[in-house]
Amino acid sequence: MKNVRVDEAASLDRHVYRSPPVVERAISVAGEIDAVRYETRIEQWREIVSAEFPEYDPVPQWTLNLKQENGVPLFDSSPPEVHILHRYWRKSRGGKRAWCIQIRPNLISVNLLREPHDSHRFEEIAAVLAEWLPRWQQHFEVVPIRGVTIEYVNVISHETTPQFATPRAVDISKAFALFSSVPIPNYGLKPPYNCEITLICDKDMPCDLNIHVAGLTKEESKHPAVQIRFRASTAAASKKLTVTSAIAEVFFAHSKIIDAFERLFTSDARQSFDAR
Amino acid sequence: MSYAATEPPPSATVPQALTPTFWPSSVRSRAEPKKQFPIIFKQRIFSPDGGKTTIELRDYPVLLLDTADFSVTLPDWGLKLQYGEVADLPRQICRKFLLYWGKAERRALDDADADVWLKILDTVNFTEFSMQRAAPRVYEGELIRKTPFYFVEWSDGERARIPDAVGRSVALLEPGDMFTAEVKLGHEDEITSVENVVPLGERSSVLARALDGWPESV
Repeated sequence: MKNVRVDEAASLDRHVYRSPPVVERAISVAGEIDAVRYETRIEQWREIVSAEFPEYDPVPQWTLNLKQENGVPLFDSSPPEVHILHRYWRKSRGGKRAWCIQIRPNLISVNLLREPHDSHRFEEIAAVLAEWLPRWQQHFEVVPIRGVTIEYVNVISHETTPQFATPRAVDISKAFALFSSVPIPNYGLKPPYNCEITLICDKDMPCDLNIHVAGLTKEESKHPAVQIRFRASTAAASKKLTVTSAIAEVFFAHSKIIDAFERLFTSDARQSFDAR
Repeated sequence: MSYAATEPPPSATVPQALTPTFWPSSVRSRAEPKKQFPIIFKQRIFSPDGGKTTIELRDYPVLLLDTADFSVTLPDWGLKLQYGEVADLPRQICRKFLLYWGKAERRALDDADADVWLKILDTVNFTEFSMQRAAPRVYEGELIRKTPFYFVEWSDGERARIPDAVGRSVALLEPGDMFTAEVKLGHEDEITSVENVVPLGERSSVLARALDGWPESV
């Protein structure tokens, strides 16, 4: 395993765009929590976070167990399960839900959603994580921490980058390098788009980078829009991280997302992120 | 696994190839579907007061989903919710349990209540709850030593170690000090909380005051 120093990772120099197409940032940290301890302390956790994240929003998550017999899908004899995903929201000054802490039995996530006039920055969510990660680790006695995942959700649409939008589609080939050099003669691209790849960025850490490009449906967006997700993860079952080293890995994973952002959005697209 | 709150878009493509996907897109059955399905609720410890006390079920509760009206019930508890409200189940379990526990304490259970309460008790670790809910008792004792751990001798001669996690309130005492405190005990008389400590002074002075005026000989 490779260790990352916080100062080394944090010294990342990058260009900060005025209006990047990021609609959500999420950082999650995985660790091991004794199941009884988790259930016993989850209510206390709600009291701890309520001062800063006052809106409690539990979400049921249903798991159906299916099996296949002779090609026929059947319900497994074991009953379906329902878990509660604990979400704690904080509203922005504009009254919209912008910040969220999510708690699962082995995970904490901090989510930051874009607001109409504020696309936010990585440093904001990193600071919130740095405040809450030690509290989560102490409260649930999380030992060990298994790694981190950062996810950036970008949307190329009529609203974010009108120069790439046509009345019926988004010309994703002009905005996203993966689609700009398809080695097959063509007259352009049209929906649907759905492409996902995972790159091994670092074998020692380890660190994987997942890139998922998908078109949004009419129900999800009034105008044609394409969602581009970058997800960098350092999680591994054999890892034993401290809070400090986990935060260092957050910065490391973020550097991989920045690298992907700079390389995969075309120069035209990146200029447009600065223009607005 | 995605942890973003933004939902990923569904796949926009419908496969046209003849090679079957893993699951067929639809299934038809001649059999009449069952109307009630069991569902395991993957939480068995609930707290009505932010974790101070816990209602610990012996197993994960099994809900019944009724497809006729999409309600879920917790049969032995007499709880019924719409399936969209299932995230409220922990609160409802706490509410129901405390309601019946309160009635039982006041001896106000009617026959129907008593029947439900007995079924609830079958599913809950009531000993744990009782210990957590029990009022603290006032103890008098002497602090024997502070290091490497807090060690006391109670007035009945029993000696006990006070766990560091609950020993903060006795830190103001010096070895040899007598004191009173409100103490709660857990499993095997383990001390689970020590609060409202009142120092009484050194043993010799306390005993001197207590014995002052006691006849020297009969």
